[in-house]
Amino acid sequence: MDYRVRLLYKRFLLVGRQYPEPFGIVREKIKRGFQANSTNCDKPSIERALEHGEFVLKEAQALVSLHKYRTLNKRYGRNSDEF
Amino acid sequence: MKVLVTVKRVVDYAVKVRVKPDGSGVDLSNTKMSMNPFCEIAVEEAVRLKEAKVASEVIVASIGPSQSSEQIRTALAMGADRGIHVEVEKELPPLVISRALKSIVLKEKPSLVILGKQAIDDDCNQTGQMLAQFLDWPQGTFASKVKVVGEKLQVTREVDRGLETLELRLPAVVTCDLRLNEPRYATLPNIMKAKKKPIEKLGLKDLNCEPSYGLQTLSIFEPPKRQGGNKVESVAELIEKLRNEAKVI
Repeated sequence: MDYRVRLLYKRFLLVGRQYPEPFGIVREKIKRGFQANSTNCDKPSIERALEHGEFVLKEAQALVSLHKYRTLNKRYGRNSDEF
Repeated sequence: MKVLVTVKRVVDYAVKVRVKPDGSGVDLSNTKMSMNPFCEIAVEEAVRLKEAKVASEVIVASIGPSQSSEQIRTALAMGADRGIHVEVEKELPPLVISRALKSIVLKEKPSLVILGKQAIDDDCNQTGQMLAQFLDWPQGTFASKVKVVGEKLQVTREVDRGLETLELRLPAVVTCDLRLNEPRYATLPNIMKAKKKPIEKLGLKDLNCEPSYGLQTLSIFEPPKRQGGNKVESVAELIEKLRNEAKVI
């Protein structure tokens, strides 16, 4: 296995812990995503898959921070009724 | 310039908390805990000041149970330099926390203290203000922008009528609002490096602080469940219901 793939998987798990869904479900999804590419053995397709992985990881990070911001803005923002 | 940031370990923002059946508190068993989101914003701001070469050192302080060191490690992974962990068993009121923080500030002598505006578990919004009072330092609360200009600090605050900009002389206390910045993700190598950064363990006694409880929690209960509405057939029925059921006209 390319070491970058392993590193990407670890980074996915790290973000997965903060994902708004339960970690068990998220981990399964991550695993399936990686296993779907397990037959790609030539160099160009590994590179392509890694690039796509980076993209998905960035999207997941953006989703986590957006979800957090929106929840907090709803609770503590200017128009919140809880305050 | 040294910067001190405070972090608090709280129930994760996404968790729906459950009240214990006897009403003595919130059920914390098997609950995901994380760093208070406003403290994350505070850590990010301090790290940005360090990256802009304005701050020379970023110190993270936390007062809480032994597991609070996880949150200090997270802050160290985000880019802080060292941690101070004051171990306490019970959750303390903001008054005691701000007294303990005062002792830490007098010991470390930072030029700037950055705190989150409030913790998302007790929603007190008091610690920063009390700390500024104890130290007799200027304070900029609800900061949405922080800028260091020479020996002064410009803090833009979110107030009811818009934005207000204050100029504070350093040393000062700043508490962060939600829109100050977007906290970063700790990268894997930084998480590994953070394991080697030093965390100083202290007790409240080292800070000449007594855990006093001026406040007593009498009971905790869930808010009443929202009752569903119902549809009416005609205007006359609506008026009748408003008059007799709701008794508003």
